Amino acid sequence: MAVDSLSLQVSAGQIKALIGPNGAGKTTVFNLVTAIHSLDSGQILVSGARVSGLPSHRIAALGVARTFQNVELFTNMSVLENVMVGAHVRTGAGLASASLRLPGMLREEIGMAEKALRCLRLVGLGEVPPEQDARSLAFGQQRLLEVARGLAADPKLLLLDEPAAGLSTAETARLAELVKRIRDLGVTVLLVDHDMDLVMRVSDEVVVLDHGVKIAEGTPREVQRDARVIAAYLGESEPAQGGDDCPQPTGEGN
Amino acid sequence: MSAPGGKQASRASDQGPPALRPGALPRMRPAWFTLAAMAVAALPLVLRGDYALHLAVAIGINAIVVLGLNLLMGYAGQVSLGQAAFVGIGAYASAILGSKLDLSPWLGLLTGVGLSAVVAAMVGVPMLRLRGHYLAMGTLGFGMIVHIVMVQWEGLTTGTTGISSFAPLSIAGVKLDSEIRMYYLVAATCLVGLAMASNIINSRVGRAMRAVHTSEAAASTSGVDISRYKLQVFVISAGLAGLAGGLYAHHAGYVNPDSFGFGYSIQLLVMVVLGGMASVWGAVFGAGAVSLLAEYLRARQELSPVIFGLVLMAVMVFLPDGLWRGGSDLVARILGRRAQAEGG
Repeated sequence: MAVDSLSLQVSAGQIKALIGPNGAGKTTVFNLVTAIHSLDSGQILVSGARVSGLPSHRIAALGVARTFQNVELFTNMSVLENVMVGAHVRTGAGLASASLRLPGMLREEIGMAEKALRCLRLVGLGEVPPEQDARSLAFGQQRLLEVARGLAADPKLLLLDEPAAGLSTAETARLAELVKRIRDLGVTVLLVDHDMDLVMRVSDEVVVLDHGVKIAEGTPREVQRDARVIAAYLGESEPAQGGDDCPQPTGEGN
Repeated sequence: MSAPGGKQASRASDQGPPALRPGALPRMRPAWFTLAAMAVAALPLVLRGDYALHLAVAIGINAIVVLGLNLLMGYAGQVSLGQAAFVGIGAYASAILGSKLDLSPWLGLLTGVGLSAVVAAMVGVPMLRLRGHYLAMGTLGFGMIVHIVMVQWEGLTTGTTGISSFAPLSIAGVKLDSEIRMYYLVAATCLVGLAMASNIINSRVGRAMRAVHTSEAAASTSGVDISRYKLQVFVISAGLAGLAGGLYAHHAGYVNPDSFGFGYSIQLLVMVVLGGMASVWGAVFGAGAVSLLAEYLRARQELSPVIFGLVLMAVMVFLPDGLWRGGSDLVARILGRRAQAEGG
């Protein structure tokens, strides 16, 4: 069982982080919330509305956006088009108006493009030519592009799946600032990552999972000092050190 | 980034004024399209004789099918090894309604389009749940079933005898029973199809389809209803094939199951692949190249499958983007290298 009896609450407007050793079930939680996996039991509510059981695209319409651990860009499209797909759920032009290129559809297109450009600027990709192939972006930029795509949907809740993986220290610092900016704009953020620096710096609250079970929850400082958390990270191979140890990432890959 | 005076720009995506440069949003350049339309209008002046015109019409009809197939395979990333079936449905609708019911040929044409679309919708719902090879086999099976129906349901289709007793299309009393008249009808239809296909690709719907091609997970979590868009593009491609079928019936003046079998489905496939998936101009180019090749091989029918098979393999191995993209990339590279050499 990837995730067992997890009870998780995220308050509006907060930045909450989900951490835990590899295999703890963190990405599974995201996949359950966005209906990539189906729930065996229990339910998921967003702003009081039940989303469990709905297909992924309906959950997106209710205001949940996400990024992926292995960047899932639309490699056959440009940077701008990638972000515009994010706005798909907020727009409605259909086949008829598209094929005839009706004025209403054109207005909507321009609106979507402008919104996409704003999102690109917000995440720090404002200088990238928007017609450029998404494929040709540097890895760090691709991660930011995914965030821009998520923001284009005007989400209530943004799920960031290991956004710092593969980023340099400087890029991670910029990412921390970006996450805070996003929260300041009214988006609730649920973040999964192994980078403790990032997690401790931006999170209001941290939840620790181990083998699919929640073992601790609290402010970053409280969690850092929790003995169970330290034990989970260090594992059985090393004896637990006494005193105020911060759990260090064990350096395993994904 | 501050909000414009007085308004609460509280959403993340409403911060600051953007600058939308022209060209940031891709679309077909009107100049190219106008040029193409002029070339198409002027072509009959250059072509000598009805045989060349007949070929041109055949190319146009194939291009209409390939436009749809290109949307399906090149952009949406699905596959169809049985597209000939939809062409056949369109052709037989015109032929049967024309010969048995004496309906207006235009109504027959429209019925063919509608029928292809409806069949695609019905078949598509279960079939598009399949992926990759399984979907390919599903479409293959579908094509075979339709062909068998054409041959066996003699009461409706006269089987292998074929139907030829249907009235030709006519506009304002003028019968479209000559090559030149059919040419203009088919050419106009093709140009309209080209414009509409391009419009769809560069739209919200088109981006949704293309997103489904590369990442269904990212597409669905961005709000794209995957099943719906797969079905939509499948139905569109079937409708276009049905339209081409109706035009085929009137061009040939005769329909018979042989024209709509597996061989034609494969030819269509080669057209899409050769011309270049994900390029509407490539689709037309591919239709032209393969139609001419097929005509050339008509004298040596037994070579046909071998040659097409070889072409298909060669393109997939050496130029998977097709001749159109691959060719233009090659030209760009050569020009780039020459500019480099001259620059020293």
